[in-house]
Amino acid sequence: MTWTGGCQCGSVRYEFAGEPLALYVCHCIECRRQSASAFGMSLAVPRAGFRLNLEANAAVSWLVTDNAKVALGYRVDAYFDVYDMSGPFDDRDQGDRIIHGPFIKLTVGGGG
Amino acid sequence: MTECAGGCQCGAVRYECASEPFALFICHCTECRRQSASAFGMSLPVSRAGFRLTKGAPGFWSRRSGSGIEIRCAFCSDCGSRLWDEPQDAPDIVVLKGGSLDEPVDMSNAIHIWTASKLPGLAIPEGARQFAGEPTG
Repeated sequence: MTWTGGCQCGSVRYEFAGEPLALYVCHCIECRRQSASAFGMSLAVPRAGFRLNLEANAAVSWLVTDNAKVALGYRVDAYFDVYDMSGPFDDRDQGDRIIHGPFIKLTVGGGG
Repeated sequence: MTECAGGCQCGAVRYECASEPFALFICHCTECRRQSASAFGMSLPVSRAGFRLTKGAPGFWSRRSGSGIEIRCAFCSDCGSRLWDEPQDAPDIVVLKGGSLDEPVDMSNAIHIWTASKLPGLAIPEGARQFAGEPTG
């Protein structure tokens, strides 16, 4: 199936085809900060089926630094390449709540 | 005297409060699910009088609640973490986001709201106060 998601304000949207490989509910301190809630939720999905909606993302104005560069497509590869396959679940998450690599973190906020 | 302190994930924005939060709401609404990118949002209202920014400057964006109230939402412009909300109908309070607090939040007495949109498979503790939508009474 095709999954779609995005941020709260709707500036950044993505979609992917296929099924998540796993759902992790992470209670580490970094994930508590990242979510500003009790835990982070990470769904690993194959990158091959993942696509940012760059046209919609061109309107991003309040996302800055790495988030904006990813959203605007400038550094998507570099951003994903920050991480290697040996450490996808370490604590180097830069706080981007939508994606991180080499797996992709998805907001599971549903369709509402 | 500082009762609680917190900040964003990267540490660029920090805050302190002179009083303790007077409630903990765990909100399962779709907005809070998006806001947290997790299963629910955690909101802890505190007195604005004792709240102060101690480091950095947050970004803000605004949204309207279901009842039309403007909510100014503070976040870190560097790492994207959400920090607190400022409901414009309640200028005397700031609503802290639970995961931004330095001390782990005790969820034992949390009030669960908007449980009608709770994620499937997520358990609410037996005996917890809960409301299908907005809390009443």
